[in-house]
Amino acid sequence: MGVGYQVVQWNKHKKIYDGLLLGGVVLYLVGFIVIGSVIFAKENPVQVPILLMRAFGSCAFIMLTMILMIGPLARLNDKFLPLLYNRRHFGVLTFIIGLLHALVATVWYHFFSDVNPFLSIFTTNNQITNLQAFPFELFGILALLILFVMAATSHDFWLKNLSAPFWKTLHMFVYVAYGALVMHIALGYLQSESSVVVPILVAASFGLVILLHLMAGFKDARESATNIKSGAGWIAVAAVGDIPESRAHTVNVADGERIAVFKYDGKISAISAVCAHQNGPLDEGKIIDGCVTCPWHGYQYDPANGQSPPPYTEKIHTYKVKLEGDMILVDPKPLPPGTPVEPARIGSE
Amino acid sequence: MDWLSALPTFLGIYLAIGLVFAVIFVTLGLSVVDHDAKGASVRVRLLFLPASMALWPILIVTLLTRAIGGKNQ
Repeated sequence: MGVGYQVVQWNKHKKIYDGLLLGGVVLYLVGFIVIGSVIFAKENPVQVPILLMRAFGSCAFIMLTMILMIGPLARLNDKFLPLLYNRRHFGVLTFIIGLLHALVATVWYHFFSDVNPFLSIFTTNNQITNLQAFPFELFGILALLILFVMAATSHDFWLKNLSAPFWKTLHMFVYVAYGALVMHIALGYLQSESSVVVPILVAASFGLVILLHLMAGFKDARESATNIKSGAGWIAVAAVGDIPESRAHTVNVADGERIAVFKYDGKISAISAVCAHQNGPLDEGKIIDGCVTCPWHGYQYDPANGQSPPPYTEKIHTYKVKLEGDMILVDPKPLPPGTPVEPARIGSE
Repeated sequence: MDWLSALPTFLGIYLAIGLVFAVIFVTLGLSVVDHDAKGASVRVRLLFLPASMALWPILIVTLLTRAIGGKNQ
């Protein structure tokens, strides 16, 4: 928590997540190669490098599609939140699989020419004004470069030192990478294959990603609108009994802000639901040793003042909170990060 | 397309400068931009190498900003 850096801050959850991720990727690749070699051998024998290329390429596309689906799915249904917690490693592995696809393709198509293979990629086909013969490899290279920068900066050091807004903007380029990948596949198939199965699957994946983002956006907007009262006064959050002990209830307010209202030790406190470390979902965390603990990396905050316990220095916004009978009310106006707020005492009225 | 064939050369030069900068940055520059990186292990420094190589213009600006800011304090 702000003191020293490690290659990976491992915890049990991350190890399980990475184990399942790696297992899934290996299973997919082996399955693709085995089944693919049987299917293709019947009609049109495919050489091993091409099979490998397709296995890695399709795997990377599926992984990137899943990465883009996880965010909106978690906003639509809490059950998907565990998938969100270690998406960083998912992204790095996607880049590695994409890189393997690119390496096999480069070796197979360009390594045995007289020209430098990397120069050959750019010079073999320069018909960029002809859609039927467009060098679709360029879209793949663009996607791979973006995924590289994202993977290389997937560490707390870069989040902190490039600044959170810049880092987030940089990582929003994942959508450009996805679009480029769709174009890479679509144009590649247009030029070399007559089957429409893969283009239809790619278009369906693309459509699904857009649909999920729209659904999540509408849900957030609806919740925000419901929670905004005229005059920006107190918001009725939930009944005390609705919040489990040491857990939070989430409130979506204007401008996309999320407040986590925690119940603990006979008290109620409200803090920002966004961790100062990596925007982790504090509202999905619980109170451990008296501190709200982020489920992503274990960053902790005192619920009464939004400050990390010493020697750590992270601070988040706090919110005024009060009780009217059994109903918890929160003032949606954020107080400066680290501002102490007297918790509402349950049963004190 | 001339620019297309010039692209790998440009990328090569960009990354070559980046590599030189990155080696210096992860060896000497980390603790300048972030005190928490002081005493970082070799593995951590190697982990930061690819991003330093890719984002070297931004890091040079960051280093200069910190250096000027430090002098003014």
